[in-house]
Amino acid sequence: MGPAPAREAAGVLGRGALIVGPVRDALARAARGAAWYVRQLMGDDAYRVYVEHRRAAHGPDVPVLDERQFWRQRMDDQDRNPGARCC
Amino acid sequence: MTTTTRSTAEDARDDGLAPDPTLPPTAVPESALKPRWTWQKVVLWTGIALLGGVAWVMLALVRGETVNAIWFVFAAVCSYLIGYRFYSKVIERYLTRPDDRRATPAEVRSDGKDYVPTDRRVLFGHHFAAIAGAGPLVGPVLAAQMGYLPGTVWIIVGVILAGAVQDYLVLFFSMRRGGRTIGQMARQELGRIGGTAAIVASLLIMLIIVAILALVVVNSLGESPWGVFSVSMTIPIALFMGVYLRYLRPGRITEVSIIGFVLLMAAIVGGGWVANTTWGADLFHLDRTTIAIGIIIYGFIAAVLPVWLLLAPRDYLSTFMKIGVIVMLAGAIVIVRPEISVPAVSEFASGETGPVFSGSLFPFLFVTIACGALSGFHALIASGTTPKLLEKERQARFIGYGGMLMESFVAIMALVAAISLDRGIYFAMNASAAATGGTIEGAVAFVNSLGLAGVNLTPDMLSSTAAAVGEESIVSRTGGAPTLALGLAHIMQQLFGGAAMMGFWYHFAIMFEALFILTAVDAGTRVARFMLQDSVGNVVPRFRDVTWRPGVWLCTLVMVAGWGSILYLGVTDPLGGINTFFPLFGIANQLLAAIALAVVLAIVAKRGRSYVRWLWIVAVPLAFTAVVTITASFEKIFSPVPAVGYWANHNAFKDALAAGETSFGTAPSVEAMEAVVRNTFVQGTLSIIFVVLAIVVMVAALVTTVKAIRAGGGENHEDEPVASRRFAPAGLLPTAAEKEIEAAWAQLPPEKQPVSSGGGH
Repeated sequence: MGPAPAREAAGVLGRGALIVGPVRDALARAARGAAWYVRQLMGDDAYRVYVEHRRAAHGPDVPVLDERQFWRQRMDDQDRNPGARCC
Repeated sequence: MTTTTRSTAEDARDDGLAPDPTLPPTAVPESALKPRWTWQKVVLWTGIALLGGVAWVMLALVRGETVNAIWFVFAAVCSYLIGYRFYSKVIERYLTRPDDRRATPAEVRSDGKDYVPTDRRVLFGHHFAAIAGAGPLVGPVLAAQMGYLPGTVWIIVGVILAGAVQDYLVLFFSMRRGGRTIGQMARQELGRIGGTAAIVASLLIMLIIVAILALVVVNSLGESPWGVFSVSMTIPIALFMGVYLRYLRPGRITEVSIIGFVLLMAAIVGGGWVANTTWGADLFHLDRTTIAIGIIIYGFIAAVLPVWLLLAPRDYLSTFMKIGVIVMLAGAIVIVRPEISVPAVSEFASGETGPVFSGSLFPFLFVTIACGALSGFHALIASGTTPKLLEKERQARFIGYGGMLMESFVAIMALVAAISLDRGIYFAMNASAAATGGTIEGAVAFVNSLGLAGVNLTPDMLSSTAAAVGEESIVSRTGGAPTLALGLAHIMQQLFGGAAMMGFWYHFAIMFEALFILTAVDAGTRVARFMLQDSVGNVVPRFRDVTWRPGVWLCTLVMVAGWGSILYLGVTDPLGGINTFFPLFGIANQLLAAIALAVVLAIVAKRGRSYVRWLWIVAVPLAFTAVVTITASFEKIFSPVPAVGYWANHNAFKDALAAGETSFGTAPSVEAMEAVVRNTFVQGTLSIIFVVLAIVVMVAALVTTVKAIRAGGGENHEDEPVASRRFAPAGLLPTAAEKEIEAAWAQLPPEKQPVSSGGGH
């Protein structure tokens, strides 16, 4: 008795049940994409880019600043070279 | 579709740009670039054109009782899509002619810090956040005095033909020159006189823009304890974020921005509670002069403090909020679809004066809207950091042209929010205190005396609206920001929260506008100081050293005094600071745009004979802007109507003082009259300086252009071409050919993959 009504229920709600899966997946993908975009926009990965660039340009053993030093230097650079923000 | 896994013979043209034959192609081959018109595309674009056409008809021709806001959205979006797909492609094909086989400066000078090839979608957001600010939010609100149609037409048509063109071309040519600034490009292309004039004009114009934007903030916070509390709280919140990022968790920018955002929301809610207490109302109820002095002091301190402590966190918060706010505004208007009862063309459109801004529709409408359609300041941004981050040449169209279209869309949304208000309330808020007397009765009398159709203002309307948003009074809250905030509050409360939330939404809008503006004030002061130190450094080399604190402090003081004095004059102006000073802001901005377009004209003419027949793409907006701004400047300088001409006003008041009068026009005392004499002197002088500088540059550019056309070209100041070693799609969505090439690159082993920011998605 169990499986048949369940299958019938699935038949009636079948379309509903099928939509939840892909829709949920699409929403999850969209949320992940939005999170990626915001993190990129705000510049969270600047340190990773710096390290990758140094290693790619000068070899894997090149000394790199640690994260704290990197961000301090970045701020100091901005102090020296101010960027405009529009109106 | 040809398989494009290996570079074809086309790419191996012997012009030094032959790509590495072991890598996949770095550019879509010319043959695959030609547009392929399938019937689906034809149907799509015909549909867009029809929808846009219908929307314009509804806005421009149909005269019903009201018009629905959704038509503004459709007209704007469809026009932008068509402009982007067709007009910007013409510019790309015939004027810029980008070559993806060439490496951009981001690739050539790649240093992992300033020159980093950045994913185009992320760079779009970056660039948009850099160019967007309070400008497109304020100008259209003031321009609503003329009715909705003139403003809408200029915002949409102007951006497609002028604003986005300027942004795209400046971005592209700066990129070709290794990211050189517009000032440096002006000097190179126009010679020393033109170049120096351009740089001086940029500096002065920047100071004016900062001053007027600060005035907008002052006007929105005057006598508003809730507002002052919320905006003041942004300072400790930013300080906290700065310390958090430096000492606690370096590099967690998104995390700290979310924390900051939550704290901001708490500050807004808290502001409502604080403003209702007696101690809160006493402490935070400040008059406009006090707030102005506060902002001047803040401006100085913020510009000398290290970047990490205050400016950088504010910048992160602003960027974070900009995206969110714009999405929210657009979404709210699309969902709520308010009915607009403002007429298409108002009674003031054909006149010469008006309560919000004086001057006839031509040229002052264009000058008032400024940033929403064409903004010279963007030339400074487009030749700032963005050209150093472009991954491929062909992406400049998406980022430069597309970014400005987005800003124009923000302007349309701001216009819609402002015109969704009752007209009586709109004029009561935006007429100067001199006209309304600053009281509800005065405002009602003034507005009802304007003789506007369908306007019947009652004192109850003004007092209940003020109470609903948690302000003591909304009369003569000029400057555009409070009007936009009220319009936003009206729309948002229909979505979330109802009437009880109106206070929150109103102060949320005031707060984000103040946030954007104060960040721009800080950044603008630093840039101006940098330019000053650089120039003085030519004479006294010590000033070039930015670590020498006395030099930094002195130059900051000079620049803050520069914009601070204008701010102070504006705040104490008896005729209503925004009403008299805003045209200066608009004129300055448009003159800078004319300068930028003039430089671009010279650059294009020098590129060679085949460019001459396409010069009109630059010449038409340049000519229009030049005519508008020179006419506006001349009217401001020479018009005999005191409400319009600065010198006419100056002389009228001077004569009245000399004749021994103790009150004249709307100035009630001798002091007020003297203030007007002083202010109009400054305004008149600045107008003369701006227009002279702009004419110098335009003449220099014309001379250079004519010489270049005669000679069939000119000196090429672009960087040497270097072959590119990477590939990325040109627009938002990759085309089929681009997807193929991307797939080929993805098959490469990881050590051969190019490093970039925004990779790994």
